[in-house]
Amino acid sequence: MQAAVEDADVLIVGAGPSGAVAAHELARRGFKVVCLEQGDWNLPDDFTGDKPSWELARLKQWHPSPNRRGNDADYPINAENSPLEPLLFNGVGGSSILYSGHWVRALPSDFRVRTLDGVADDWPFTYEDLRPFYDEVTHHIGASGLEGDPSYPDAHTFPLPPLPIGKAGLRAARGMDKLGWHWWPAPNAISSRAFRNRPACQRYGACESGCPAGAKASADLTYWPDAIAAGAVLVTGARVRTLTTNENGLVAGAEYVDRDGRWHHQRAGITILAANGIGTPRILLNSASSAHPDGLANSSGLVGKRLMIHPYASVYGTYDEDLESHLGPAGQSLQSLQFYETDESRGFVRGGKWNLMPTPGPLNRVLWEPGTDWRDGFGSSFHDRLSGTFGRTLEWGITTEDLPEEGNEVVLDPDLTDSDGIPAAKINYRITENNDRLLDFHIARAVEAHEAAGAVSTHVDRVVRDSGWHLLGSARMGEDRTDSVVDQWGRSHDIPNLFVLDGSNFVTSTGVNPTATIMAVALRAARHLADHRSHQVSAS
Amino acid sequence: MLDPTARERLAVLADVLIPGTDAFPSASAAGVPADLIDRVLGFRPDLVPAFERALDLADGLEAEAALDLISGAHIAEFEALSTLVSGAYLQSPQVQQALSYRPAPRQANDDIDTYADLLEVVVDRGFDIHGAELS
Ligand SMILES: Cc1cc2nc3c(=O)[nH]c(=O)nc-3n(C[C@H](O)[C@H](O)[C@H](O)COP(=O)(O)OP(=O)(O)OC[C@H]3O[C@@H](n4cnc5c(N)ncnc54)[C@H](O)[C@@H]3O)c2cc1C
Ligand code: SF4
Repeated sequence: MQAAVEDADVLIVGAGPSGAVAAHELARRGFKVVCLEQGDWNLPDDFTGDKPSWELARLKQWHPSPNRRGNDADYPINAENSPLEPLLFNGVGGSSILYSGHWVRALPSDFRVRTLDGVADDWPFTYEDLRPFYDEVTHHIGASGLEGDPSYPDAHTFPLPPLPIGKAGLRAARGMDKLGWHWWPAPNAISSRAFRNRPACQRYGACESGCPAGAKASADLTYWPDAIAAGAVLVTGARVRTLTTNENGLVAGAEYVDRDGRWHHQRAGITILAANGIGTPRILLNSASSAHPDGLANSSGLVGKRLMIHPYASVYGTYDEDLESHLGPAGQSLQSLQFYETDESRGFVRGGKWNLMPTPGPLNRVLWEPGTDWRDGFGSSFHDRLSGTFGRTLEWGITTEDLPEEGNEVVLDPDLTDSDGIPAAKINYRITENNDRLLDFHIARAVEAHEAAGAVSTHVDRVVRDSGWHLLGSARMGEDRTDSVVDQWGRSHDIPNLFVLDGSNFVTSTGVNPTATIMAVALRAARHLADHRSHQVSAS
Repeated sequence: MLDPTARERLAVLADVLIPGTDAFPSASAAGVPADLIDRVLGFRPDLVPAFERALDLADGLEAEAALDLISGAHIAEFEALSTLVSGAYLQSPQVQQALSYRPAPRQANDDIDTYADLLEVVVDRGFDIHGAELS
């Protein structure tokens, strides 16, 4: 192992949205920040959304599952015991390279589910506490949206106007209007007009395989340039195996391997994990030693437990006219929170968020479903299927809140390793009974929404396997050290110079896409750390 | 590069998978067994082995029987074959035109005016926000 290049005040593991926002805040407040990221930079031209290879490349080279992609920077995840495939990206910008950019705040009730609904736990802070940080991040990243959605207590603003909802959005909105249900032009982390270093969206619809225009607010474009300008050092191709500890029981830094197979140790006064809901518990569990036989920061036994993934249902409606539903962004054009809050008469608690999405790309309309008769989609059926659905199919996607269960977990796989021989993670995950009922209810309503909008047919994918894009809760925060891993500032109860700032720290999953919340929580914690620097324990 | 026998076999299978209609060319009329298949194999080199196995499995069989066999017992091979044939077909400008497919880039024009009246109703209806008072 090589000696450290330099000591850092703060080491951040992971260059996704949470690591980026923390790096920016701490570097601009004068901390010497080093970030270790196992992946690399991507340039807009690396993405294929504007090229003829796009639809084929997104099924492999740009697939959101690291298991399917199998890039050098990826680590495998054993998902045999899960109906949901974990999806993420490893590189500068993290999973925001592939995210759809749905930029959604949680609602006040999300932070008070124990008080309101008698389930799970309340968060150690409220919506009001987080609100200024939501506002700040939303304006920094250049989100697009429309002020005044009545489902929130405040008329929060966006720096950019909403993206077009198009013919497709209008058709769906008319259906919601008929039913008297809530909808709103959706907020997106995509620029509707040129914003700072990003041009306006060009509607490729390729957002989930990387934006070729550079219009999507991925963290490599939004926060990293500013963090680096403020002095943060970002080391790419640096894969962390373990965190090391010193004689005082503090974290001393991390050992990592570079792309040439050389091992290094990066020392730091404070260490922040921002490696996401699977990467973070993996590092903590891999850091087990005789002093910490169950892994670091794990006196509660909750490292890796309470994994939440948001089972996702797709309800497609096909219409009798060309709605240009292949056009992006994808991205969401409308969102509905009509069935978000608890109504116990429905037979379950909590709810879900709906997003209206396009169905970009003709190849996606004609892919063979293994196990089906090829004649169903090919031969004389091929052209009807293609022409009858392409440009005419809309998706109401439903993100459902799953409540924490200890049995849903991230563990180390006894056999599987990444390409550097570091033990890989395995997830054991099942959909809860509450969630099953929630899914059925929401799907039935989404079918009604399509019918009200005049769909000629509907098709339901009840639990989309490739939808494990929200990886949350596996190192939860809380006030009580016996039943949480970190406190409300992301600081480990066990090790005061260790922080977890990615979505592992979520108490509950909320029912919305999590990145706005992950970043607001990370900014709040990083600012608190900077404001209380003189009281912060450090290994250096 | 596919040899001429493989290309011929592909043409037969591809035309059964994607026959022509009045509006659309068949797979081979669109150029699938010619340059388009080479292009998509270049996009997905990982699929080449399964694709070649699919063609081998079709040796000596009628096209429909071959497709039954491959899709029934050789999932990876049928996925490779059907994905590459469809992917190649959809590369054809003639096919894109028949489909009225005008891919992006497009401008992201503001269209709030088209739905402002509908939104007023949403605002007037309001929303029962749970727990706002607990914040
Ligand atoms: C296809 C897809 C669509 C999505 N759509 C949305 C959406 O519309 N809206 C939304 O809110 N969210 C969405 N998400 C989720 C969103 O991307 C994540 O919530 C967000 O990126 C999490 O940020 P993070 O910083 O916590 O983790 P990540 O972005 O996952 O970043 C973690 C980083 O840590 C690095 N890392 C991990 N382990 C190590 C190690 N051992 N050594 C070094 N580096 C390491 C990884 O390489 C990675 O770059 C989507 C995700 C995917 C995959
Ligand atoms: S639709 Fe917009 S944000 Fe999405 S990939 Fe295209 S240009 Fe980028």
